[in-house]
Amino acid sequence: MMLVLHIPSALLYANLETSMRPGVGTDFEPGLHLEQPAILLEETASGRVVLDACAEALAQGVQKGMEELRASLLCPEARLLMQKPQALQTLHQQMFEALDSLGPGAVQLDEQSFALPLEKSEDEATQEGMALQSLRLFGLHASLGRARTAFLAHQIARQTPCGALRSLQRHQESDFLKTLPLSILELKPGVHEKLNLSGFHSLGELSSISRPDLVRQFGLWGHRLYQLCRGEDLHLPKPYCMQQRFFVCRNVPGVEDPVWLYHILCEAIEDLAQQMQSRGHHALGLRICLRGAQNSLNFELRFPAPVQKISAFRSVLDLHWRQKSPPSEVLQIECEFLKVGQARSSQQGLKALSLHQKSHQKLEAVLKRMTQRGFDVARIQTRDLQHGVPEKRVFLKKEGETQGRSDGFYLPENVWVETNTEGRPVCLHSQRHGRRRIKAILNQWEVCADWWTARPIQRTYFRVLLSNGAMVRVFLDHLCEEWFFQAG
Amino acid sequence: MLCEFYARSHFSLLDGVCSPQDLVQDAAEKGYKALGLCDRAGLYGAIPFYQQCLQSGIQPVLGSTLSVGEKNDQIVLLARNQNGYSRLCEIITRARSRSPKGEAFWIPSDLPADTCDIVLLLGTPESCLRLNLDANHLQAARAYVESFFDYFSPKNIYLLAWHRQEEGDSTRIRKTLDLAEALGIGALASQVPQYTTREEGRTLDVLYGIRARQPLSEMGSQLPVNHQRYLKPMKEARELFSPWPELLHAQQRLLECMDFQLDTSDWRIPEFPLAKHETSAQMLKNLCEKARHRIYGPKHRASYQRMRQELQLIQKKNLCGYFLVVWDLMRYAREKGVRGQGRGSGANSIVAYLLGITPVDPLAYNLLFGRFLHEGSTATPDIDLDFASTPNTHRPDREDIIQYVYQKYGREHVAMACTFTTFKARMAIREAGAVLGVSEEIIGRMARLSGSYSVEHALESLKEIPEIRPIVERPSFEPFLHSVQALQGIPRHVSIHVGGMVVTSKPISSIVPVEPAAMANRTVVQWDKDMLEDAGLIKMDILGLRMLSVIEESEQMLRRQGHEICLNSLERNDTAVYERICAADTLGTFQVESSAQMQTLPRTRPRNFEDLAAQVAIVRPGPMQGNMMNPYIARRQGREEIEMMHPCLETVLKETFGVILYQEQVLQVAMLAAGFSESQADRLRRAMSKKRSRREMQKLADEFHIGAEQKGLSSEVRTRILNTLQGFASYGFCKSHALCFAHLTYISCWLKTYHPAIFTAALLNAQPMGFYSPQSLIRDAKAHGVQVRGVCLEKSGWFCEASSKNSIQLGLILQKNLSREQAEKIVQARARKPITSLWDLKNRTGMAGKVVEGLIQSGALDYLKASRRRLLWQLWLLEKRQDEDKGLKKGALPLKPHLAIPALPAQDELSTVAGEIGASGVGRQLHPMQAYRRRYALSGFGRIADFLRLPQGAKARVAGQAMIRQKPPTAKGFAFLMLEDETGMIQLILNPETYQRYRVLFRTATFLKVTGTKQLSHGIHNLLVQTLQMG
Repeated sequence: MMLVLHIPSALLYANLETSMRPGVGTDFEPGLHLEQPAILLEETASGRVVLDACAEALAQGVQKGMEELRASLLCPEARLLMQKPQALQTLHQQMFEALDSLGPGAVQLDEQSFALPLEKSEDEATQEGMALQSLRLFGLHASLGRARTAFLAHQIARQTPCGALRSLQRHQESDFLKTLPLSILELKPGVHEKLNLSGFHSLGELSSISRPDLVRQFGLWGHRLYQLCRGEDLHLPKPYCMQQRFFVCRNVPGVEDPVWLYHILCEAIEDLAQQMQSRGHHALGLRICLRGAQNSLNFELRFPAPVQKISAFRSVLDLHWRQKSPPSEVLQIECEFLKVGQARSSQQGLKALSLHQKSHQKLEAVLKRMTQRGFDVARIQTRDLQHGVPEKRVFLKKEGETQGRSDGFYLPENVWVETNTEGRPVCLHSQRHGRRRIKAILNQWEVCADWWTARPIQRTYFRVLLSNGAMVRVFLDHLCEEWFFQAG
Repeated sequence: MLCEFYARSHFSLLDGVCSPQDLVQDAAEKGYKALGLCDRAGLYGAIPFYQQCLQSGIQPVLGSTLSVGEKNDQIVLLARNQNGYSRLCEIITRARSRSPKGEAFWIPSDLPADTCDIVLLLGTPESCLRLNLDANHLQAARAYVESFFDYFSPKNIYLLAWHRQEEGDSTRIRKTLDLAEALGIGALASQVPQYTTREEGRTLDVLYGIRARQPLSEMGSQLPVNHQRYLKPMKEARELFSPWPELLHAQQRLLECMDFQLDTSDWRIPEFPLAKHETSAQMLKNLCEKARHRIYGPKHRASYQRMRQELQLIQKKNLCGYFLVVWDLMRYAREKGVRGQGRGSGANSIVAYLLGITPVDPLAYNLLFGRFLHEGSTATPDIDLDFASTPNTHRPDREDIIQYVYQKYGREHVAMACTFTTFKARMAIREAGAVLGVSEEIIGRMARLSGSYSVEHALESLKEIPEIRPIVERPSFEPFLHSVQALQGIPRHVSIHVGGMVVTSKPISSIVPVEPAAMANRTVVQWDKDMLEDAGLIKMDILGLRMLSVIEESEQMLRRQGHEICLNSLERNDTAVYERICAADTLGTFQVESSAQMQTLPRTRPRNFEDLAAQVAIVRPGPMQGNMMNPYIARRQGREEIEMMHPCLETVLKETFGVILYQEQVLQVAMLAAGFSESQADRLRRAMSKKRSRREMQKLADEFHIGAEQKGLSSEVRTRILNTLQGFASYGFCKSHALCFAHLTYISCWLKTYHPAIFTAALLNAQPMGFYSPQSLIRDAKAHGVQVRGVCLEKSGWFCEASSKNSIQLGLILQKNLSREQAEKIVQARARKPITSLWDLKNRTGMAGKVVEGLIQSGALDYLKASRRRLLWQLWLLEKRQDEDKGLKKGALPLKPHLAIPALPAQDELSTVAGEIGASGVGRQLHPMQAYRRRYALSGFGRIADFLRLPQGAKARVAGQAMIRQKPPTAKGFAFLMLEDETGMIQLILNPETYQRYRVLFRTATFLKVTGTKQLSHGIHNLLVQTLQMG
């Protein structure tokens, strides 16, 4: 026997909202649920977008990532709520603790549902079910159902409307299943198409076919179909909860200019952030390691709220860039995203960080692309919950040792430069060199990049010979009209 | 800095931003004496570049950038003179013939024996030499350059010392100079310009992203380091290269030995093969005279005079050979049974009529030869030819004519014109969005909603959409919007022109590079039709017109049914035909089947052939933009008084009620009102057409005013006439063209009137064509009393066939996923012995399961007397069994299996129709709407037949299937949708506000529930929409 706990995150927020601001909606009471559909929003650079929505809103066409305006047009009766990450974390924590107390073996069915196996009688299970309602003490509003198999549990979770409490007795199972569409079965496309063409659209219709007929037509799938349409499941879905940590290690030989090193770093960050965002995940932190020949520098950037904007990453990166001294020779860069509520020791906590199985395929595609683009050979290590601490780790390392050139790596230093009427530098004032006349301009070139981003680069570089015989590089940043000394 | 030898234009296809004309003008403004255009893998921009150079007083240098073998290396070849140019064309042609599309991999054997007229430039930014110099591999660099000494004289080899203000440029230039000095060759300064201003550097970045199919954020070092790839003003350029004056001296030396002038005088059409002692003029005259006797009789004076006059001019213009070539094509087409006819201004010529090229007698309709050819013509005239086009049916058609031209004149003398696909709104939004990382959802929505080819118009219309406006107005969107605008008009890729062919007397590859086309047995020149015309090459347009195949097939079916009728010779005065046209019962016919035509037909009520030609010409953007359509209709109906802009125009404009309908009238009005010569009037027409030039237009407008003033026209009248001409000239038909099309319109309407079954069967066989789906054509045929029998494996052949005067047997051609070969297998198998079961069918034809599935769903196997679902279940079991039988010993026959089939749910109407439409595009018994009818009736939405009975102004609720959606730019924001059900078809009209409210539904929904107000005028029933709902 399994108990199904269905926790739509939009509803979670709705309840949070009502409990924190009772004046806004109905006073929250255990057992009651919000009358209106709820749409949860988050603030992004492009305005407010839908983070999640309850089933009613989703049924009316609201989608994750959709703009607020469009969502409200599609579902005008919905309550629009802004997310409160801090409170969410607390709630998650409480929820996991509560689930822990129910015993081990809980299976996460999808992002919003859990199945809790209970080796008890129906009566006992009912009592446990009642016990589960104590979760509401934390402001959590959950749906409960009961099922004999993980498949049935999954379907109940999908079919249960937000906030409704559902208790399914054994004799009710066939009625419950009868109306479910075949699309809820995860079948091969060919099998699905054949069933549709033959006029079978629901589990109830399919259950009228005998097992031999199904087996004759679909082979082994026939057995599976026969059982599934009766709520039995031979193959329990595998839990796919994984913690995801990304590492990008990139060798950087051949880099002549620290500006480019900075760019490579930003590019790596953007890659990862975009991949994560495209799957609807948000990084809460970033660890960057610049490995040098003798020493390494670690940046540990943490954010109080989920960060979607790459520019936010960049601005914090800039801050650290200026505050800390990077190693003089950078050989390798590693980036690691720290995900929401990372909790390496708690199994229940890790569930909250679960990714859908698809993410694994996507990640492989990303790695393939990154490899094509010059990143080094990728190796993926994945372990799921059944084999200890779940982890998906990506190493991107070059095969064999690279004997590349290692370059100096310095931060640009703001300097005062005197220029002639044509705007060319004639005298340099810096802490390192003091006031020096420029004897000759040895080389001049321009760099213009990232014009399509919020932080474009437009610089004119000069390699100059100073009066003390030193050759240095300075550049004029055209966007801020300031001069910088660039060592290295 | 005197010149720049290595510039690239947008004809480098995603490797350059500006047009050759812009580059030349920019160079001239900045004081350069000469400019070299060296686009990648071709000479696409040669003609506009050369013309602009002459106009701007700049010395043109033509060359091309080629890849070396399949290595990552490039060289540049420059033509020193005309001979060098011809050799260059041949080299590119050879390189293109063996390279993948878009590439020209050069190998030394491509070079002619003598390369003295070609200059080789080495060391482009994408060359091996650059890599060697950058990596300081000086020995390798030297060996690389020396490897070219076997093919080119050292005095014809130059190294490019380029400066793009990137780090390392100066060092490389120094090394280049050292190498050149060591080898005793020259080195040239270059800025490698790819655009004219720094700002356009962004566009180049975007183009590179598009080429690499990668977002810019992932491009890394593949993107230019800066935006300095433009031609610097002379002073800046001199300063840039001031440390190396020898580079500029070498430029001067090279320029002095360049002597390139494009001589087109010997680029002619080949002589037509003639009998001994016969000239082409004589042969042409003989052919015409013979035909004149047959058509008009020997004593017909007017035809003789007109013919003589035309022949004199044709001979004077050296076009006799051209006419004979076209005549020969038509002769061959008739021989092969390919129906064809001329169109366009060529039909103004009696010679073309006598040669059987065009179907309209220019004397009978008073057609003006000057529109086609006149004394002062500078442009080469062309005759456009339409031929029946029936691809994939194995019938002789246009492709046979094209191949005949290749065979007759030799592959080395014939090629198709190319056409450049340029960035328009949707493509620019999609491609720029993808490379700039705009979310796919936003790109998709913007592209779908842009609904316009013009970028400016698309962006403006997007700003009017509430959910898009906030996105478009974000500052972060500025780079994207800027890029979309900048991409407009830049060529994206090259494709083959639909029918333009060029035939030359000398090998065509010595005139322009030729490349293989994607279609087998075709070659394409690197110039489009305008460039060919500018180069003085005569082009023939051999176009495909499916209505010609419909008419040809109808004639054959008529013959099979015992009617010996020549459709081309029909008297064009049948009242019943015109009655049908006036009632707008024209679905499926030629040119008058669109909803706009159907709306005007009951008002204009054409009663004779010239009326029909006017009808074909009136519903066009030209007359609509010139605000002539409504006055024409009102005057024709007698609701408005006929008013001439000036009495002197009465003779010309009388037949069209004082309104300018035809291009010929533009010429005649200019001649009458301002005393223009034919040549002047034609120049005016051309200046106002698509290739308009503001300067030329202004000059001609001044001449018009002077001439008209002398004729005593007031300033107001002059301006009015000129404005009217200008409003019209760009998109109007010429009368000869309208008459040629009206000829086909009449035949198609005649067929629809007297032989609807034959006409519908022929239309179905020629699909896809016209406005309407097979479903609509069949519904219309049924409404005209035709009995339609569905696709049947027992009875159907490949083609649809009119089995009797009023019945059609649909053919297997409508079946999706079924090839003609497979259909023939079926027909052969059933001829031997009837196919009695699914097993029989599979076993005897070996057809794939998916194909049989389609046959079952379309109802083609209904004659087996089993339900479709049972057949499908049986088919899958059979297939499974066949897989198991693969293990049988060789030679063992599979036994007919006994297959137990469970009870399956009965099929409802909806899934039956859906299956039929999916498999064959047509519902066998029911229209898709009939399956939904009960549901709609419950919610109070009626049939179109019920709607037609409502009075004017009544409130209506109708449900139907959306067939054709239109939002013409000339309709001032109104949108139109044809709604069909099992009982008929009506037009929905959405005013601008309603359209804005329902634009998503308008563009996407298949079944619609509509409420609105009935509009009834001249027997035309429309519904002015108030609300739309998804059906």
